Amino acid sequence: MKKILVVDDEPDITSSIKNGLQRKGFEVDTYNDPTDALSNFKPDTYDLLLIDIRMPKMNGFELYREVKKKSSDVRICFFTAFEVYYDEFRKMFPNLEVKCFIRKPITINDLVTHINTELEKQ
Amino acid sequence: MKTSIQAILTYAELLQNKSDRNREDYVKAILRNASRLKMLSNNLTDFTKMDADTLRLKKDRFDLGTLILSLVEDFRNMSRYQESKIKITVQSQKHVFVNADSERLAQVVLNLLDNATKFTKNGDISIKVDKRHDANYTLVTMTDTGPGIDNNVKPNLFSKFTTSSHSGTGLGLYICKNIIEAHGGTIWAENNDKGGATFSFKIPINDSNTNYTKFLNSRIEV
Repeated sequence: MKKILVVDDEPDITSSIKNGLQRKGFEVDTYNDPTDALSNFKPDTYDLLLIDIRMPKMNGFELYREVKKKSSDVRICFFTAFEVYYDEFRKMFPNLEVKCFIRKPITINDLVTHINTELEKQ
Repeated sequence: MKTSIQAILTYAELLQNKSDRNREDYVKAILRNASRLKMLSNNLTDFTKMDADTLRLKKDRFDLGTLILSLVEDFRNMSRYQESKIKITVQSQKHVFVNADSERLAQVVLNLLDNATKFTKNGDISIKVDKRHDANYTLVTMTDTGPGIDNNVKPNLFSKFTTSSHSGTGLGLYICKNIIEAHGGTIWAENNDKGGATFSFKIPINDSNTNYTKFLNSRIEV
């Protein structure tokens, strides 16, 4: 069973996405606080990270950078309502390779398609 | 807005499974997010009106304390309040009558409440309603125990598109300012010494000297 980590500061998002993905056969952990997600992160635990970008305390890009230090081959999709952040990301982290940006709102079926596509790439 | 749409969309999908035991929770979550979306879309509509300077007030005489009490009661039932650990208290003097647009003032109070609950995950929000006859105005303060106002945001707090949360449009406080100023009042915010923020607004008790208003005021003070 593939294991996904979802980090989003909105409890309604993490809770509903968790339920939806579980129904589609994924195992899911969630965090609303990115600093908790980072301190509890263990390498080789997740097949994919689904991370919101705009969060208090630590944005999704910073979380990704820190997680990458713990696990260099971690796979990630940013999950965001603001496509504008893609350009911001490129400027902030020109050396970090991320190709998966998923736009909210999205249905669970479409989200699963994105996740599977990303998982198949590896 | 997209955050609320995302939540509604996913919970609605989950509802399609009729054997799910949590369906009641999903309905509550949909209502909570729909209600938030309603407020955000009202803000957007009003924003366009305010920019075109076409916002008109429908003034009436009502008890502001009673209005705020009933708004808080609704808020307890309908908002994210239910799943939070926030305690909201309201202290109001009796018969704080104002001559104002009740729907618009309700919108101000709901925007401030939404803001306060967004940033205060655990803690207290206390609302006070005072009439100051010596100064001829009514003062409403809303104090929270959240993280306080970010210094980067503070100078432009009441300007349009200012937001430090990812689920807001950055229009709520701008609209509040416009509504309060249309009533001849002022609105401001400050950080508390012991943490958290206080948002306050005041509006004149009488902005017209009609006999009707004078009569009501004299009766209230008996």
